[in-house]
Amino acid sequence: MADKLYQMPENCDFSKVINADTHSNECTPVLDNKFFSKFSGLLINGPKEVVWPKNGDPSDYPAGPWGTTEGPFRLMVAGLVRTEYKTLGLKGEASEEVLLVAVNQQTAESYSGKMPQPDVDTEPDFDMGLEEIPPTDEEQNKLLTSYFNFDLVHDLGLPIKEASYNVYATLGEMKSNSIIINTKVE
Amino acid sequence: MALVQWVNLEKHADYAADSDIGSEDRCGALEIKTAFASGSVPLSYKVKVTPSGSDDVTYTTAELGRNKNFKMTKGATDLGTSAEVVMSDTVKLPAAGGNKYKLEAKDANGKVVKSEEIEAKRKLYYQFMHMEDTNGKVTPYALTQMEGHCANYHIVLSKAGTDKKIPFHKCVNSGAGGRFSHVGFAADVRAEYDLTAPQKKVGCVTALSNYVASFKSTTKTLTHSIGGPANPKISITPSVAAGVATTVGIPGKITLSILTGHEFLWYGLDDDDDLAKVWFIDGAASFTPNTSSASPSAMAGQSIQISRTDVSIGGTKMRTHGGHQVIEVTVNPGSTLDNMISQASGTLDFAFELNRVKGFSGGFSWGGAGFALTTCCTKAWFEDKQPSKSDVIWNHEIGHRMGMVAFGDKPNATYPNPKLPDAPPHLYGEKRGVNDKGHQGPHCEEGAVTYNATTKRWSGTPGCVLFGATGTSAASSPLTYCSDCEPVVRKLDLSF
Repeated sequence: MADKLYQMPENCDFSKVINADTHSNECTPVLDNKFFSKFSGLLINGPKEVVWPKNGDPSDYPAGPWGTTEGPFRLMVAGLVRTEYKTLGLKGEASEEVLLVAVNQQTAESYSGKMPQPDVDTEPDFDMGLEEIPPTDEEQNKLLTSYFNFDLVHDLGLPIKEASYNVYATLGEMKSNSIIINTKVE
Repeated sequence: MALVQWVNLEKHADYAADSDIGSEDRCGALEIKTAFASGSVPLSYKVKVTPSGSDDVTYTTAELGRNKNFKMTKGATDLGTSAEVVMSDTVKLPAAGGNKYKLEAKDANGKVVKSEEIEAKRKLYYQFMHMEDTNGKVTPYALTQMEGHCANYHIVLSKAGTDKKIPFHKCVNSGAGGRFSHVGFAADVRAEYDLTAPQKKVGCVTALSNYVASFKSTTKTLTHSIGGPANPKISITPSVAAGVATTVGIPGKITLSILTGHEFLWYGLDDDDDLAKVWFIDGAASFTPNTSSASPSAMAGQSIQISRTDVSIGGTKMRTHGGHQVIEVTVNPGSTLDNMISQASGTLDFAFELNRVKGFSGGFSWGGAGFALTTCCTKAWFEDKQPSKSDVIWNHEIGHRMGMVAFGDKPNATYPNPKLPDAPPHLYGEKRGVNDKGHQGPHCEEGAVTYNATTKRWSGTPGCVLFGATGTSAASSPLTYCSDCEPVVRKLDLSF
């Protein structure tokens, strides 16, 4: 990996990927240096093909209250976003703002969505009296990585039918690599 | 006083056993018996059921087309078997609660007889549970406030069965990948849920939990300028090498205030997570010499991993029951890290991937385990939950159980449900990932509230108990529904 800033894991098991998880996994793109890489931007990795069963119904596998999914009707994509702390005011925690897009290559129908979020209050509803100490100027320029994992069936509403999709992720002006995912129903 | 008809219940002995019901006749469809004088032939008689309430709610044409339970339907007419002539008619009243009706029967001669006024009500059952075992407990309390809240909308929320204890867990982890999630919690509850099948059909569990929270992975960096200005978030105690005075080296310590404000490490929320140091995922340090200095080339640009065994929680808890923001890194004498901090000048960058608290939830309502589960936490943000907040949460969660906020006219919702009434005007969140506005599921943004999509923060004063949080930093959510949601609650079909 000396001359390349990242690698895409191949032959990893996408069925183990957890929807809406903010952690890396065996399918997550790997940077040349996890913390101090010079890479900035978005990377995604997905299966080349997914086969869904002909019988059954996705509604038989309801998502958990916070978007975790299970069952045979899933299509998982893993990725990372590496931005400066100051980018878009996201403090380096950009994964929840990443928009994943899947475009049907035959019909040009487009599907997009963000990761589902747990129904939690991200700040207290009372004054804790704890001030946020801002980072130094130097720390504001540091590149920080956050991870995302999508289930395109649940998060984007991909239909259960045979198709070929061009899939990519965006954040602001940034766009990831594009991958082709073929779906089959057998 | 009006006769009560429980419009969401089927005719069943389990319901009739309740003192406020008393008879299966009072459940489900109205059975109207019209007696005729002996010898009379009931030709051309008519039975009429007419709405009579002054504040009845009415369904729209679209609603009537989506759910047959929103309509009044007339069943077959039967000739009675008694000696006198008794005609029996069945009329199924609409699903709405609080509506009133008058019954009239008119014979061929134009004689009209009337019954008492009929009032439609709905009834739901709940079984109460709370976490308690040898590991800990949450203190149970009565849910009479929630019962009174539901009564305002013509819903009798009735406690049934015996109160149950379920295993204590510090936290139900509501995030992806948590150790004890909603699934494990639901399994604990299911094992104790023993209402009768008819009660479960229109019932739910109300379980008191400790924390409901989720974690998220986050990467943080801190920069230490050796020989330069001090970073207030970093404190370094050098190691002491073995020598004449100390035959064994003494490790040094780097203390890093890695989180500030209302960000906390995932610590103190799950004993097993704490033992496994789940708050720590990975860490590294990198040394960069000053361009003008003559630092040893061996150190230049070098980065090293910081191992799990060398990190620990530091500092003190920031809140009553926990809340940590500081980590410590052990500096072993002679280690590369020791060499890095011993340089005369240069920059030391620390980077950590951590699990921090993403947020706390007041509770949740979930039907995915095959039964209706509602829960309310007793702690959040490492503090005890204020009772007033708990009341809001219970009223909110039971509202979800009943189907609020309704979106029956939204076919593009993530999970369309045409059996629900039309949505009130300030619905949001029926499309996951599209209009959630930081919350999960259908909610109501009535009131002087504004959502800033960039900061992902709400501000202002919520006007409905089905706002997606217990409040904003400015004001708490109310205990009751807004005026737009009130009639929708009354229109809900609670027959499930």
